[in-house]
Amino acid sequence: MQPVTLVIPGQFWDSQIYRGRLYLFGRDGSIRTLDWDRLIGTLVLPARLRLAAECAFCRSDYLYGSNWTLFFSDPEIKELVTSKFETLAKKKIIISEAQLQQCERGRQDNPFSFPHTDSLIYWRNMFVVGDEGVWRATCDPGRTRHPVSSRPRRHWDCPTISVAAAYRSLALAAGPEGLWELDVHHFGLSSDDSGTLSRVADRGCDACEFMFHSVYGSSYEGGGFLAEFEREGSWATGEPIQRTLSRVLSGREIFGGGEGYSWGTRDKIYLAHRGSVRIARYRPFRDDDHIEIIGDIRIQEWKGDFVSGGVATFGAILEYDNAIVVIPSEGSPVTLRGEPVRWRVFPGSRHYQNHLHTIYNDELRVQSFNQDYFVDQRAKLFGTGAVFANEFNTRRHPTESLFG
Amino acid sequence: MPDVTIDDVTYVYQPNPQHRNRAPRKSQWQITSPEELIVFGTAIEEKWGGSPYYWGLHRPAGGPAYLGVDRDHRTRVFLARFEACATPAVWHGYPVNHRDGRPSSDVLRKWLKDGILPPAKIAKIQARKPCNL
Repeated sequence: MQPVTLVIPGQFWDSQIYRGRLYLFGRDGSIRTLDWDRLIGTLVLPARLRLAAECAFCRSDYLYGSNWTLFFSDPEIKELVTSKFETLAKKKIIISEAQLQQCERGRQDNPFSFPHTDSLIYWRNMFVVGDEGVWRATCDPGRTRHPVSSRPRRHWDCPTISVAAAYRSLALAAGPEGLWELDVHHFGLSSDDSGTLSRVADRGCDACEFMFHSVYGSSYEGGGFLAEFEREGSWATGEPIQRTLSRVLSGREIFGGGEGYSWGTRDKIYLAHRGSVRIARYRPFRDDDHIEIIGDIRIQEWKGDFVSGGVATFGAILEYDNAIVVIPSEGSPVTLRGEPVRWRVFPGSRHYQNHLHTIYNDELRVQSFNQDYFVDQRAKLFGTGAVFANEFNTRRHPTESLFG
Repeated sequence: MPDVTIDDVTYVYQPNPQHRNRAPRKSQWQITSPEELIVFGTAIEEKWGGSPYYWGLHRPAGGPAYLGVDRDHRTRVFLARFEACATPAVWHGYPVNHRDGRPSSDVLRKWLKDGILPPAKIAKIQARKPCNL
């Protein structure tokens, strides 16, 4: 199934989406904030495609979960829903300046150091990292005059390349300075928001992502490593969760040898090596081996030199010099030609886990991959377990039930 | 010893032979010495840096081109770093892999604004990602 694509013309440096708002970092040093839900509402589409558009762009969680298992086991229903996404995918959706203005919630000077290397939004705070360290600004509608507070605060001065967040903690890839964590428990909750900073691993770290309560650090020099934490406490009982670093496993230990760049998110770790991808599953909630090698796949779509990788719910993302290849959880790989300025996925998001945002010279492409609703989340090789809407009503972490 | 005069200030430049004689673990220029001097002069003139480093690009046809190889003598690189030693200052420079050293945000912002490098390359340099021209 081809992705549904929406194009916003413009010269951007980065994008973030959070709680119905799209934040566009312009290369002119601005941040433009859009009412995303309203923007999708303004799309002129036949009524029969409205469900697909809503799920594709605003509610990725809607079609996941056990509520739909019986429904989708009916081949006619599955075919009908699939055909709606396929029809929508054939439409060329380009947002005009008039539509942008209609949905604009604010336009302001970028208060952060520019150009930055990475950003994220977590608990209504925008974190931006770069050569000037780690910065935070509130982005809570109604609390500040601008959509993003114009008075960011610096929390660390070390040049930082990548940031990830979970368990009220930021993981920070600081290149040769290693992998660090910043405790953000207090941010927005008390006046003392200095946060506790600790070094997780002193190995070079160029990118990082959470794997449940552990962290994967990717490295071009060292090949990557898993900083595995033990967890006490439980979402189920409401007992506060405490994480303790138990060991650091190298990519070689994880994959039983093999050179190359490795990366991981939640339950999947990938190693890119000479035209192949080796896949490992991470199961921290089991008593026996936490890591299991589950596949070694030759990638026919290899496009020259490998640059970086990512994992989303809908599949694995491989960045090459002049293309991005998405290996979806089901179906053929999708090649997106052209050298991106930046791309990002939102595996920890509830509503936007099907999004791939890719910035090119003159546009942002928001692409939505929708084949994954019909895929067995436990068995898939490419992509992480999905975040289910109905799981949020329980006191368990949304993905734990899949892998516990 | 060649020099470069910009705004009535003379910068003395002395090429370091180790970056042309295949010395082990030393990056190597693959452009000519006059081209090396042009790269230095442009870096100073355009204020691409400040103490302690200035950063240069080889742009024979307006766009960036490779200017040498990294310390492994295999990996092609397109950035040059210049530094001064001694008093009064004598400058020298060498090719550098952006993963080992990269310009400050100020320089990258200038390159982005003036279209010296495409934004995709600047993003890769900043994130220490592999970057081919």
